[in-house]
Amino acid sequence: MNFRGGLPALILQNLSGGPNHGYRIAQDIKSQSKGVLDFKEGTLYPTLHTLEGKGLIVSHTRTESGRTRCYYELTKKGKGMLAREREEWRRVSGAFNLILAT
Amino acid sequence: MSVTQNILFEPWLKKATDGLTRPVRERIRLEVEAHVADSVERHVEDGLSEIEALVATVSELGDAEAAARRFRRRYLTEKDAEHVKQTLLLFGGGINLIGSIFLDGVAVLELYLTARMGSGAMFNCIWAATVVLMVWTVSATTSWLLARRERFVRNTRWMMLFNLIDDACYFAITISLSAVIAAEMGWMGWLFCIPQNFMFLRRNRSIRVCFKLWRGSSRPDWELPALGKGYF
Repeated sequence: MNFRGGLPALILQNLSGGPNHGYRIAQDIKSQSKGVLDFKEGTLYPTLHTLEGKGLIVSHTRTESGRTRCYYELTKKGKGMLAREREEWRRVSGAFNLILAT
Repeated sequence: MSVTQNILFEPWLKKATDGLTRPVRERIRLEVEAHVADSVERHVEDGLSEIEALVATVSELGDAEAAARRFRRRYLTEKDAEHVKQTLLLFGGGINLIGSIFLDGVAVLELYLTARMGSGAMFNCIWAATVVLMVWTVSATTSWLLARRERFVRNTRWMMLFNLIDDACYFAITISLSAVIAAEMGWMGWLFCIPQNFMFLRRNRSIRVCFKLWRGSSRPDWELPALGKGYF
């Protein structure tokens, strides 16, 4: 399913559960949406870096069993953005329901 | 990473990071390598051979060119970094200092002449030219100061912005002068604009770099490590 523009909100939501790295974020989004939100994983990293540039998330590297991973964590600004994104989603999806459910 | 992984994964990574600066390429490599290793491991656990797992992983990564376009929008490219370096050399150098001092002198002289003049169309023209010249002087001098600072990298955003203001003033003055000369000499007067046309490509890159720096998507502190302390 094409959900262009929605990936940043999904990433922020995923990170609200705690620090996570790119591969696991991608797998979490796919599994939680039961495969409906299937995206090309190569686009995940530019989005993560953009969110980091905006100060919504921060990164730090961690070495686990010989593999260096970059973990991302939500910032205070990111939490605020996530709350606004959720509110916006409720408003928009409510409006769609009103129209399409009839 | 095994030889097979290198053969299949390296072209994707090379394409996705093409044209980016070395620190950025290294960071992306670190992340995507871990991603590929995790993904291959999972596919092998699911029963695929190592080659099948790697093919599936690279396919899941998607179009490298699409990733490259998004990375290039976000980060300074090598050409952008070179442009910043050239701007630093140009603005931090002695010629810019001499130019700034000369402009300071002309601006003060113009201010004096403007103050002595009465009203009228010519007065308004000179007043407008003085304002542009003052802005040009301030931007040129500030750029020189910013470019000379040891920890200039933190000031890259401001330096590139002043570079654009400086360029806009130069543009306004040369176009105005060309118009004045053209009024006297005909179309030949517009030849005065030629240097501006040569700077067109440079200005385009300046705008793009400035946009990346001010949008907050680029991080010059680690994208341009070679331009830091002790550059001069």
